[in-house]
Amino acid sequence: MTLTILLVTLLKVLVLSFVVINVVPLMTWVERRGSAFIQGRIGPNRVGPLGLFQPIADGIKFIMKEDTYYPHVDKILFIIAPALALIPAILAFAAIPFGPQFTLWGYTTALQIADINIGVIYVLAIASLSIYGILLGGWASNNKYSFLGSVRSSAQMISYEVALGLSIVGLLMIYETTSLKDMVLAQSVPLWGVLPKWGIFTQPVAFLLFWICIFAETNRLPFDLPEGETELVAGYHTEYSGMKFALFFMSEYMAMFTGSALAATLFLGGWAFPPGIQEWILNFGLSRNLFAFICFINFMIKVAFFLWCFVWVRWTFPRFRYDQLMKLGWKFMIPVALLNILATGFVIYGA
Amino acid sequence: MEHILFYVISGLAIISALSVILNKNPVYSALSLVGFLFVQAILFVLLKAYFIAIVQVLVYTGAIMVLFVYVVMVMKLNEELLPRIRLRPFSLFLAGLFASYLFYIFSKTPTFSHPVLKTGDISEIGELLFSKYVLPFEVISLLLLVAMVGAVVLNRKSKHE
Repeated sequence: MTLTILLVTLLKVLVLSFVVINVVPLMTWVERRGSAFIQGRIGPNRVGPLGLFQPIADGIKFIMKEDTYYPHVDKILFIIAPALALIPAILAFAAIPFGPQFTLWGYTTALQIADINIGVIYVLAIASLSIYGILLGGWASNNKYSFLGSVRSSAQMISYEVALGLSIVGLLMIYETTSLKDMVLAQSVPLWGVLPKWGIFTQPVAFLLFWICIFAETNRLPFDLPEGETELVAGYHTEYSGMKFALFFMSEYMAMFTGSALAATLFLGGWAFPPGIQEWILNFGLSRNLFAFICFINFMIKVAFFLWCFVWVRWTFPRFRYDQLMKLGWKFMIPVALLNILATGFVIYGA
Repeated sequence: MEHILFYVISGLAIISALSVILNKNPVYSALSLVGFLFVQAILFVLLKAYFIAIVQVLVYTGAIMVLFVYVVMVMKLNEELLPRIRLRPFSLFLAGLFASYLFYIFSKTPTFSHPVLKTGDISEIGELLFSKYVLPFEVISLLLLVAMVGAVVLNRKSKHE
């Protein structure tokens, strides 16, 4: 029995990591085709159908490239920094629920690697560690542009982490849980008879704050000042080439996926269908495993929507100036998040 | 299994703690401290205090130590600029005093067999904080507020400039 548990857990880890890691090449393709679509160009369309094999070609290029070291870098930290950026991004998925329970070899388990009762805080804590990769990468490069990029990044991520954490407090107050699985279950009941009780309907302000903060946390445009090309060459990864650069690149896309998965779980009801539709699907008499798979697809569609938003926003808005970014973070986001908590408290107390 | 894990993790903690004080490069020292705090979080997990462990990672390794590393990096401390460390009788005395105080606390703390928390659940911690330990909790929040106000006052530009 213990062997079955171990095997099933191992299988879950392998399959979910496989899914998560393969989102990265797919997203690079979506980003390039999406930017081309927005700017009225064609984009990569030569390698494979619709250019779908372009990421593979890119991967081969990254691996074949010469791995350069410069005499002025701090060699140990220069090598471990890209790994330090990528590892937390992958670890954060352990607590995200991808689907409901399924049965394999007589053992029933949920489509989630670890159901921790403090899942929300776990994801935030682990995601906050990815800053070390950027900070050390910039410092170890021993280059003024790189260092400036990593200094900007750490200041930005710490400022927006505060607002990110505060924006979630309202949700914790409404659903009265910190477990991501229970959060999904609590959102699958109706609200005022019509809407599903999703976070986006109960906490619209929190959703807006959360979504803005995720952009700052993942260093994406309009908050990509750590690598602002017009000022800093390429920011913290100026000195990196080949696969080491690719690891930084992957960690950014992984962080996007974590942010989207967390947003989908907290605000769009996770893998659960809106109430009513779930019963309708179950009426077809599907087996439990098939239903779990459908829920998984449902979750991935929600995540894909948020991922597309990342691309959409990146090619629509210009970059912020650094002081504007800090002002927005400290003088707008944090006070609004605090007021949101206060208002939520009043509403819960009144109800 | 738990015992083997405990010894491995404690060994790692001691190694990283030693590397904090023995490393010549301040950046490596600060990073060893990050490693130490992370390993300490794993020790909390072994004690079934999951919430404390995650908060340790979130607050210490994820926020406070980032600022630490940041400041050390910005200061550009070279090995030549740092003073040579010599053991003076006074510093030895202070270290001894601190160590004996730590030992006193250690002898007073409850051991593995009777932990304060039963399940390590977040609601249990909340209840304890707002009932049994409400006075220390409020005092600490006041202390944090004072520190915050102090930081703001120290950084305020005076009108004469």
